Amino acid sequence: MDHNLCRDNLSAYLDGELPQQERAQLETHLAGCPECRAVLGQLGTVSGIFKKHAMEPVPLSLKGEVLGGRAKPAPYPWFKPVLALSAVAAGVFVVLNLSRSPEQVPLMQMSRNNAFESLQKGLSSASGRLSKNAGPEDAGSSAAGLYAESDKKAQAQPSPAAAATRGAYGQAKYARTRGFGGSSLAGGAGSGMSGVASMPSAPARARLAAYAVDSLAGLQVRDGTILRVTGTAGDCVDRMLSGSGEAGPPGGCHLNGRERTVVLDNFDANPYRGSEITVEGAAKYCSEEGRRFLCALENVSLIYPAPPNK
Amino acid sequence: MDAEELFEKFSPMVYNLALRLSGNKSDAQDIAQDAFLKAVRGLANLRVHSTAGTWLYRITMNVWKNRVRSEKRRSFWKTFSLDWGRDGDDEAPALQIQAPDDPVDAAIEKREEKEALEKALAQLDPEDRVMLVLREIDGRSYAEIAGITDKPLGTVKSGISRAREALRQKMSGLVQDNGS
Repeated sequence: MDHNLCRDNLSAYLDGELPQQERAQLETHLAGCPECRAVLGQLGTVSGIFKKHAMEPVPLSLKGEVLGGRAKPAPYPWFKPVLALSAVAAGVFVVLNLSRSPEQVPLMQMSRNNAFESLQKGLSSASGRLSKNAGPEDAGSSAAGLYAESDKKAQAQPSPAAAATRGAYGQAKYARTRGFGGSSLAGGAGSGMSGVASMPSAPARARLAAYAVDSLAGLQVRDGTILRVTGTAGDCVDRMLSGSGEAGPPGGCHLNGRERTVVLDNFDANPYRGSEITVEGAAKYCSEEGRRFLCALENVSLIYPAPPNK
Repeated sequence: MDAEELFEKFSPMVYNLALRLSGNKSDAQDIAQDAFLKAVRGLANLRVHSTAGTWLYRITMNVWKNRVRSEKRRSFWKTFSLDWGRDGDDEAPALQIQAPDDPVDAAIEKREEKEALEKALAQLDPEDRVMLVLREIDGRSYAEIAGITDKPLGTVKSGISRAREALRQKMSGLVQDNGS
């Protein structure tokens, strides 16, 4: 065994992890190499120092915390919205809000059940455009009306560079894949969507967060999985506050108007409130935290109807 | 095995794994707590008690990995609020290095040895540190460590070798005095 190979194997030799043949070769080398013998001795000393000092005592409070079953503070204590509108944000943050039986498909579509219900309810009513003061109950108004309104608005709004827009086809694809009965939803053959050519552009950068209400066990979301989240935009916030009132990351509009659903960031106009919004992007840095599953979202696309007329 | 038995038996290793992964006591306590809470929830499904340690250490590693991802995700947001970050986290205490002309006794020498080790450990890769802990403190074989850390056997062998060599070099004064 040559000198460098010996040096590479000294630690494994110390641990008794070398196969017999390699051990014999190394021992032959050691017999004739004082340098390697010295290093082996020093590695043994390191091992001894480590065994002597590396273990720290367990904090007394840990036992109480584990066996007492105390609840941990929320990982996001700053999540207390104030009523104002957000500025442009650079990244996108998504926490999945799961339905009870999520489909495990490469294109993941997550929707709050009540968001879907309100959309269905709205679509089943007479078609029409969103009024200026549309509230959440109108969020599900006819997709035909919404998209037609969007079409008009698109001409007035600048197109941001970084975000793509989706039209009727996007919604139809969503509806069919999710098994909602596509024809009753936006984009289906019978929905009156066929004439819509374009959607309003999304802001250049957007951020989105949604909180899962159920465990993600069994749901295979990993970096790169395309996520799509839909819901009704609720109250908009300017900046999240910590429990002590310290300003945190920029805020946004809550989907479904509840803190534990989806926060849409970077919507700089209150008119989004009450609108049905879908956001799609690629998951990044996903991890499970308690009952929540959180991801950042890259390359976000926004699919939404235009805000109601002011 | 119940929750209390699990804690009594494995908390020293779980806490120290968490400490060597995170590098600070505050995060280590959070990670250890999370790991035990997950383990207690899944205890009913643990069929072979002899594997409880391996299972629990894997949970600890996964909790830490999730935290790392969470921090990366939060860093994603820092564009507009550069000062926004974790609050209330305890920093590791600053090392207290004695003046060289102070009288040396066994207690001081022991503390110097420990401080030198901590300083050297802080510069290692977290997963290399954990592999060393599993090997030196828990006596795990390389194959077992590979299973716990979800790394190939070759990676475990090279990680432990790298960690020990780095410690040997960083603590050269102490090691050469005591080594053969």
